[in-house]
Amino acid sequence: MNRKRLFCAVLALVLLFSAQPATAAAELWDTYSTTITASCKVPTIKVTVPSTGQVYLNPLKLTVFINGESTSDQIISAPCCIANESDIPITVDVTVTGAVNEGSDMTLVASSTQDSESTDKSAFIYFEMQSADTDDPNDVTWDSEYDSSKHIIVDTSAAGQSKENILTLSAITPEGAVAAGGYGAFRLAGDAVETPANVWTSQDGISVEVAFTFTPLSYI
Amino acid sequence: MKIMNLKRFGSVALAGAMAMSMAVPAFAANQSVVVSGSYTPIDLRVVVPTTGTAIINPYGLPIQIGDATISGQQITTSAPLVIQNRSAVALSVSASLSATTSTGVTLEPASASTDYTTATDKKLHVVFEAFTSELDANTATDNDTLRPLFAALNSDDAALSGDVTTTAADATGSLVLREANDGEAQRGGVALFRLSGEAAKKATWEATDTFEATIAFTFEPGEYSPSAGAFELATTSLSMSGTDRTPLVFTPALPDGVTGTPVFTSSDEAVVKIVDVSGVETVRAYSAGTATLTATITGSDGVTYTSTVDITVAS
Repeated sequence: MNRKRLFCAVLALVLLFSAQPATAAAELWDTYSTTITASCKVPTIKVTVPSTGQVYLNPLKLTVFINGESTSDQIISAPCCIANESDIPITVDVTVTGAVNEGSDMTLVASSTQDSESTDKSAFIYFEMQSADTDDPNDVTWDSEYDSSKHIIVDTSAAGQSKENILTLSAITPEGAVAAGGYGAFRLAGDAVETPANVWTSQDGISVEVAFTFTPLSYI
Repeated sequence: MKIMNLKRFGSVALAGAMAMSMAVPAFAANQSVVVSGSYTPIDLRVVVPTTGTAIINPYGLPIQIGDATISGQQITTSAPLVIQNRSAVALSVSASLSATTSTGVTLEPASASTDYTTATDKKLHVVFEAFTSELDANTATDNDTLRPLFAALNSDDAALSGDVTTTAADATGSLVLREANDGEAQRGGVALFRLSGEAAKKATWEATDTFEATIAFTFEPGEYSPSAGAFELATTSLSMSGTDRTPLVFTPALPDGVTGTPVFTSSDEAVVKIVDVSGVETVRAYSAGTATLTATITGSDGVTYTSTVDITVAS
């Protein structure tokens, strides 16, 4: 055998044994990504509020029929109702501002006239609101007397009188209907001096502005 | 033709044989051994959702997730997000967090110290959180099981967490997913993750306000060693000149159906040992220093559970 060829064969064998196997390592440190897209849940507030209401002064406690119901209260108002048509529960703030009719000499006072011996032509009137399950305000159980923690006195101050979070109204049902507890019935109540020195006339009367502020109920 | 001298041929053959029998290095005078090795690639198989949705909910209004309700969360993901380990090895999970926002929205880290109840700018503090779970391959896709579990997640239990801002950052903590069983995620191999956080409640939010978070998960082999339970020592500070012992109180907390007996060890018995004092296992100090007590439970499911607590001994 040719020496050169034998040497090459041996050398090739040596080189073969000295070679390291080449492998491709798997990529263990793979990265997997999740992209999370956020949207903003902005509550839509929609409340049905009556534009007008009626209040009657009945100082002489005559029997009066209102909406088919008889009463002899001295301050009579046809109860009204607001309805929450929002998809979120809301809290209700109320500001009431009163004004005496032009030409009337009556005044609005800050406490009940029933225990007073005053003969001034005055009336004590307050705003009351109750939660309701239906839009029939007559289904509501009204308070029997004034409660300073819940009711708002009507006066003639420029800023009026306010109460925050007077009521919470439930959100609409999944079907989109006003839910039980989604109605807020309200009325004016109070009393008046029955026989003042200056008798009551048809010129006597008041107007009351009721301003509602609705805020989404916070769960925070 | 001239015939090669037999002696020369024999010498050449012998030299060749010797060359062939020598291993690398080829011309070493002594015998050597060739050790061959090969790399076995690890087949990494994980299930990670590519997308998810979240809600900016400044008033914390109730969010329905099936029959479950999430309430009081100003930032929440609107559906459970799940990672499953289907690999033959346990995997340590890390996450890199980054985000983009719509105009006017700011993502803040916790260090911003914003009062989100009074702030009026559109500011958010968004937090990524990942949690261990008892889910497996079957329950990880069962919404009846998944949704209530997701709704009940508590930030205090997050194994991994981190602020999501427009500056990339890594989540901190430790999360290891147990190896799969025959290619399917088994209990300990499934994690839940979500976004949580705060939103400026008094800002004028709009439906167009948004952000997009990118969670980049990285997986590498890890050691699966879930917690064995909790140490409830009366004190972790002993003194050679004062109170030098405290009863060992440990409450095991193993997954349902798993049993095991804890074994307690001290990392430095020159500092503290666990001894029997009138029938009560007690941690007793022997010299000033610091040691770690370890409770180890080999569960009936084959998993090793461990818990540790550090104890300091003053002189």
